[in-house]
Amino acid sequence: MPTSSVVVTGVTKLYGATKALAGVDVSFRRGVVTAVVGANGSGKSTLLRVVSGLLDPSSGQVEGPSGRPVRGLASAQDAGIVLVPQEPTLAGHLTVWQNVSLGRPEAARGPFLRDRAGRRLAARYLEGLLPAEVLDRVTSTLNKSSRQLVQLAAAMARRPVVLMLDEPTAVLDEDGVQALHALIRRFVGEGGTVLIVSHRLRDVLELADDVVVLRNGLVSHTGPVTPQTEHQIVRLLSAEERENRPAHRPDRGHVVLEASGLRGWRGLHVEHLQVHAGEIVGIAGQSGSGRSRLASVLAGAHPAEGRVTVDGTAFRLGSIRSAQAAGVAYIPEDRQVTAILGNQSVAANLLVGREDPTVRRGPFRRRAAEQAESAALIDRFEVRPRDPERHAALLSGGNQQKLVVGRALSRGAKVVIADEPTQGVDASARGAIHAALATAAAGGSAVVAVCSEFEELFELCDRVVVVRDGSVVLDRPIAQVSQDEVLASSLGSHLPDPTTPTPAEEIPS
Amino acid sequence: MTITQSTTETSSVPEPVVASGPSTLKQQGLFFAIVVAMFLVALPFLPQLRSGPYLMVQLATYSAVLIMALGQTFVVVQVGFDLSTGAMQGFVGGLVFLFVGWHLADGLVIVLSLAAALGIGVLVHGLLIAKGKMNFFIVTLASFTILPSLLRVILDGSSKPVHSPALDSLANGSVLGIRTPVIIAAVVFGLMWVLLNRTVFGRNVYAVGSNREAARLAGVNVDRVTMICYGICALCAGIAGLLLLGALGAADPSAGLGNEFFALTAVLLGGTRFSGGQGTLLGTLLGLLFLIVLSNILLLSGMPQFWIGAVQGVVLLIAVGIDRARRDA
Repeated sequence: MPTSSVVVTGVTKLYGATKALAGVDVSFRRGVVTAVVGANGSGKSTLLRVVSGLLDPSSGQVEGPSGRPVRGLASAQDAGIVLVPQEPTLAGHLTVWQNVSLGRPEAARGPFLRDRAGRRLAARYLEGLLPAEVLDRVTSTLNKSSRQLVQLAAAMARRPVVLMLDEPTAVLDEDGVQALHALIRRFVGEGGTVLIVSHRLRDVLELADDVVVLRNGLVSHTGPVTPQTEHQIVRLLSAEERENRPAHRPDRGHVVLEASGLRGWRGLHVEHLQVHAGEIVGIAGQSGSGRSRLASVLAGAHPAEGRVTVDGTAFRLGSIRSAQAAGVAYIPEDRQVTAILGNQSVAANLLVGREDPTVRRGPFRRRAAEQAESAALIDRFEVRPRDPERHAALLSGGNQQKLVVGRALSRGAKVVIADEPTQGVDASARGAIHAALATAAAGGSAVVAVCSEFEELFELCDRVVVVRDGSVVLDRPIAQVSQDEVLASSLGSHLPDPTTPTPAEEIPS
Repeated sequence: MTITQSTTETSSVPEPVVASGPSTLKQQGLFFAIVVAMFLVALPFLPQLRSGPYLMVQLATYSAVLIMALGQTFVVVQVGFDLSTGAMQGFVGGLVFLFVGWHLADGLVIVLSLAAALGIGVLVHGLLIAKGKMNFFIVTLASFTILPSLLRVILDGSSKPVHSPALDSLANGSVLGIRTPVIIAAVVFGLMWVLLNRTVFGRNVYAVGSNREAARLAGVNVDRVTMICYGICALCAGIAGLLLLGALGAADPSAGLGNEFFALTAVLLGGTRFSGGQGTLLGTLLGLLFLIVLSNILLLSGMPQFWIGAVQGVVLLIAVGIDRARRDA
């Protein structure tokens, strides 16, 4: 049996004049997890798409496990190469089992569907990922983490030889990450090949046997993961992030954002919440706990009962425009769906919704001022490439997120509500976004950030608010709380003694 | 077959399939060159095309459709379609007949008719679609059947002559050798172009069409944008209705029917996409000029009139197919 499962030879991919891949030679070992890492726009997603047949390379060749060349989606599928994309792409109106068994020959006899066989098939592949109760749920009613697990089950149901995962943990909650890791270990143990693209270096290096580092569309390092290489790679990729670390912020100021008596959808029930000027408050909680809902209510994006004030002035709940007029800026979750104008320019994405006299005169746009403003925002938020006319869909995920952050932070807001501000972005974009939020806080804004990742919570925030079942169950300065306490309170279990934290593994869920 | 296809989509990352700004401009330049080339190639064979007055009549005839297509462009860019523009064009003729019958002054007749069209666009179509969350196709399909029916009620089922000197001179007059409908279409084009390209509202139209929820969360009043777009569309159909009535000198129960699809063909040929956020008024103008040149060449070279619709449909499929293939490449 050959040791290489996938061999990539001299692959280039051009987008107009841009070289996303500039001649990649690399092979991926069979029965091994390979992490593909690299900074923003280094070509890692493009490489994944070329190998999976979604993109044809401009030149070069990909050989599949059988040694035959792979070109196009059909031949990749024949070779058993399956990609799990970063964003779940399921048929939302179908049930979970229908999505998992969709297109499987086992679930059909000739042109007719065999529902019971399909449901059994789905149950088998969902085992260990999600509880069996979800089988009959309509997929769109699941949260994003669960949808991603359904996607994973659907991929496994196609019996892959090579499983490729694009930022698999980006939307997963802690339980989901554990389930994913178990699945990957089992699959590799049975001789499967796994490729993971991720910016969460620690996560991915913990799992990976081999690592491929991409830089500017070229392979800059390849080899097994050892404690030394791990250290080197982390240093290489987080150098930029460290440079961007903000200076320590001054003490917090007066109360800017105040919410009281909030009642709303899915049992949202928050008696009182205050955020001060200069403070970054992290909202933690399991997915489905209401953490995002709380953020969206505070931003005026969803209606609720109760009262939210900015510097003492109440705005109309559920009216995003009223909230904005009061000084609230919002960075929504799930940028593809709720933030990015894909077929509009970078400049339009930065300036959309802006109605201040800097960029408009009466009903008219001030085009010279718009150009100056978008150029300044591109510089300030380090959007790459530096092209205000490029369509946002052509940017990498990290740069798209910079557009969303830039759009929110360019309005001089008193309150910034950020829902998962660095979801699915690489280390350098993450550093830039953290720095931008810290700068906003240092400038006197009250910042609220929903963080599903503990790393981000403890790195970014001054205070943590844990939400469970729609209510605030913990509200404490970050210096006086441990990861385990946050996890325990978000799960609803109690630590025997808060001064001696229990290891997370022992907490029943 | 369908099942396998959906699986493919289930696990594939959508590739960005958008061109950046300048190439759209380049495409329009190419399109313009094609229209001009068709015209020039046909010129030696078809002497009518060398006649200035003939061309002016052609332009005047299609001015009303151009105005309808311009309004439709707003609606399609923000994602939607107004099925009722042709019906509205005819219905406004009925209103004029009614108002003239009440001996209202010509100016007042024009203002009231256009106000009615605008009101239906904003308060019926726009309100039901934006605030009532009803499907645009259903709402405008209702108008597509209601308006011609009301028109027949008003006209009692038969064509009625309407004497209105103002509308007569708007539709049939000329200034410095240029027919007034052409001038009106040019003025409407200029106003609409400024509205779509130079105002905050115009940028919001593209933003809403590109991603409605993202535009809402960015602070765009998305419902108002939708309502205004349907208003603009109905208003343009109203203006087209006045021109048609003036040209016919009568209000006709079947006036305008079918024009909505002719105008839509021009919009789509011009590069505006049903998926929203993309499209230009210049493209719509070029799309219509292309259709005019094409049908003139075919008719003048002796093709029976009955075939024109078939040719236009096939051309639409080819044009959109080429566009699709270029994006997939």
